Amino acid sequence: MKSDPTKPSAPPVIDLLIVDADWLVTMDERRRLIRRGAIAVDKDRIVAVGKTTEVEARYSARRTIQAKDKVVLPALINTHLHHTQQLARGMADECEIERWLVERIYPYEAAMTKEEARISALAGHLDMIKNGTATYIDPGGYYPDETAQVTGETGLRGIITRSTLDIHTSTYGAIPKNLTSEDTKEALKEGEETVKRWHKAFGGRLRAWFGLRSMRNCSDNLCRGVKELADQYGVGIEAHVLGSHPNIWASISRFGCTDVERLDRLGVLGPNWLMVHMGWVSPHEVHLLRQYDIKISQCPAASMHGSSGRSYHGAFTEMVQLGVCVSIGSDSGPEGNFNDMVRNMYLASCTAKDQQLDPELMPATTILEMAFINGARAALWEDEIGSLEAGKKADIVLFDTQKPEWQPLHDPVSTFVYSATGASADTLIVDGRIIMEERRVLTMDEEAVLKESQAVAESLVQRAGLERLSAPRWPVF
Amino acid sequence: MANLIITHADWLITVDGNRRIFCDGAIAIDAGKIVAVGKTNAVLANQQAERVVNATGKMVLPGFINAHAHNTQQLARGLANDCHIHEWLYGRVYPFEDSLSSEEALLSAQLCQLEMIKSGTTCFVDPGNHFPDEVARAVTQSGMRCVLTRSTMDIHNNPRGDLPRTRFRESTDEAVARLDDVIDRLNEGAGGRIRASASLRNLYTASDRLVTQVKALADRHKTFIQAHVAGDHSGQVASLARYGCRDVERIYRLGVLDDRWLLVHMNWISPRELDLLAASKAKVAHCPGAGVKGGWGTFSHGRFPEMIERGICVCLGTDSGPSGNFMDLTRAMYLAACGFKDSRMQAAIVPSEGAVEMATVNGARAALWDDSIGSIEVGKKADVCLWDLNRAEWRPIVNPTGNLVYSADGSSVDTVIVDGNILMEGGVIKMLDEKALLREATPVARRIAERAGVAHHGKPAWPVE
Repeated sequence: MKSDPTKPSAPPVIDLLIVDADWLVTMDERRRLIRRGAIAVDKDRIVAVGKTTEVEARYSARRTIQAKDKVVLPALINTHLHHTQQLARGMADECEIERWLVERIYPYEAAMTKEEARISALAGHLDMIKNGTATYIDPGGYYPDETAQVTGETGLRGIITRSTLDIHTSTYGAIPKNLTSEDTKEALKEGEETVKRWHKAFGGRLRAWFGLRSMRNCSDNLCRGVKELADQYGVGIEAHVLGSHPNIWASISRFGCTDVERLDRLGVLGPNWLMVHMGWVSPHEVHLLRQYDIKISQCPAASMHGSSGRSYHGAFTEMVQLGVCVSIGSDSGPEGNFNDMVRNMYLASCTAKDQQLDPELMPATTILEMAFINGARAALWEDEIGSLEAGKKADIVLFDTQKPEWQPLHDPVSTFVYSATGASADTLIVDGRIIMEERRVLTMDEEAVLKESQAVAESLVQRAGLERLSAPRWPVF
Repeated sequence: MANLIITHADWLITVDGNRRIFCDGAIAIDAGKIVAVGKTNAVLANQQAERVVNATGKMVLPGFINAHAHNTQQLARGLANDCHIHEWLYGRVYPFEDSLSSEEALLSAQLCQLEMIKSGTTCFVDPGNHFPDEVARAVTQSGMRCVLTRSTMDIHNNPRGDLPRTRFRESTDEAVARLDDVIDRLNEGAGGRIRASASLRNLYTASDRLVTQVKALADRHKTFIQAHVAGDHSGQVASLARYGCRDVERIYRLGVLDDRWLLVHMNWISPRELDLLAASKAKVAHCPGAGVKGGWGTFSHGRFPEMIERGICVCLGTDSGPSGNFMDLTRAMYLAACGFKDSRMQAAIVPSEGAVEMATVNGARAALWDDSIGSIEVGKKADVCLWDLNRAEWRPIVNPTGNLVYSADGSSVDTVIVDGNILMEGGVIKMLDEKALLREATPVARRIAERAGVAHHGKPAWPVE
């Protein structure tokens, strides 16, 4: 039979339509907000974004998600999350960074087995999923393979690394030998092996980078070697930089200058660095960050809980206003203590207002740009994630507005940042696959993960010798 | 036979005099009061009940007391973001409040209480407005406990702006008489769940005569007096310009500063004022959410750790929909505990236990209700909440107060009991029609905003298609 040119051809069949979104926050170049918005998804990509009436007319979908009463956003991007620390939640409350590391977290990490690292990664993933996060950047621990495998199973998007260091003492104290005792060459080899093994795995959902644990523990040769390899593989480098005030003195006492200046002297600065924390930057360093388009991960909750002073003494507002790419991360179970990006966004905004006595600073629109646009750039992944646009990966989250904290609702951007938390994340789609639906997680056994997390933590807290230090202070009967 | 026994709580945090915590804990409730507290086997050995609730996988806590909750501002959420206080008050919130009808005020209070119940608050202190009757009606329905009032002002023009030329403008005598009437009518309502206090809206909008007369009225009614004091720096400047001294100093000079004040915000306090607070035992409501969103310098300039050190009773409030923007006291605890850790770079300052005390026993003291609420003890009112611990943000748990303050938010509250009555169970609200209230919120808020001429302030900054 001949086709009749006067009749319209049947609309193409695609995998998924999301329709009738109360608000669709696109984060596209024009930052369009679409009422009664719709998204068409085929396989792992967005094929159309627009008004429901228009998009519905163009496609026929195998599956339709009704998004009435939902605010639809790009899925969140968490640019700093330690998966292997997830189970140390509660084991390092109320102690300064030196004790936090040497007395609590190093022993915890040293006691951890591979299997426990897997449970920890699952728990970290669960905590992200429940808050609407699709993409993470993990600064590495000593079990990147376990985190990688968990990402393979759960369907999230991520960047892993194996963190490296080659100087085993600093003014903070010594790193336990059973945690790591590798030299420069071994560190570079381990880092490279991880990149070779995991970069672009799981259909490209997983990427692998290089990682420096902390600048004070990294020799000049390690910094140069890592930069050379990262450029060779076309990947990024994560490093904890200027997280707390003592860091400055640890670096100056060993290297004669602070961290960013040191990397500048080594000639290794470039746009593939992701520097985490960055609370104590000098004006000159801010200038360098802008000059080299270095990416920053601000972790406001970690600073608050960890008494790091980055929120109240840092220069994030200045960096943002000067155009430095500042993104947002949650850090870890014992530092930051939750993986809720929305609460971290709230803190990034409001602590800046409180610090500078100016409620006009860091408005919700700026915060969304930090979380999505800068988050995607920090991940070196802005060609595929960070906004809802045709051609991009289908990483989408639906937030339920039929919650008291969301109402009344005039502007989804400000209500999201100032009133909501991640707990109202309802449905999460990553790479076109539904990961959570109406708060039910489809890609892992939530109950089992929570149970195992508790059991593993109870064992670890004893083996790491932290039972007494982390017990309740009020009398328990 | 008791009405209700809650058994097998993983953690029961009593906040009693000894701050006891029970693992495998239980509470027996009868006729609205707690009749037994302890380990499950011990409680069950002596008590039987019509109904037993198994709290395995849950934590039991005293219901939170929100010491500063503007019920009638709830519908103004989203209309006063990112602006300085003079604009916030005179350009946005006063015009909004001025346009409220009593039906709208009732809806506002219902929504506000809905949000509080859902996040584990059982009692609130409302600083007053023009609709105390509507707040009382909402409380009668919702089942919460509260202290309400009618706020007073008699200075209508100040450097920050001029009050709307409507019901906001009252003479000193009118303000006092109307407040007197409200206390007379509403105190001890809803089976004793409602109490009424006195209130000054602000110190800088209150004449000396109003301050002393409202305080005398409070004394006559054996209640306390609330006032917004020293919220931001410009408020202090306004007081200094008009009275030549700071607010707490002024109350002291007027001879009326005592332990029956609930001073709200208090972000800009001098060392001398700290002395006055410590000597008078006046109570302080710390509202960190309002402070940080308003850019008031709560943690960069506040002296709350010093107040706590001096033995001053510091309790917690969320403030309001357009101010702190959420009514979840758990998030306020988080800020109270973590704000000074960051600004002072001291990890142990305001520990998790301290934050829990602010939200419970200190709130009860501030409301002059600590004989009946604030902790889980035999003889006290059965105002308790069950929290679901089988959630990603809660596990693992090695120290429950740490996770409560540093990891959780109010969304994990599962069951809320006030006066022995279940207001929410398994996340489902019993007394209010949650769905219907939420549906009404946005259209009603838009209507009020348009009437008040502030609707454009709520519009998104980005283009809407």
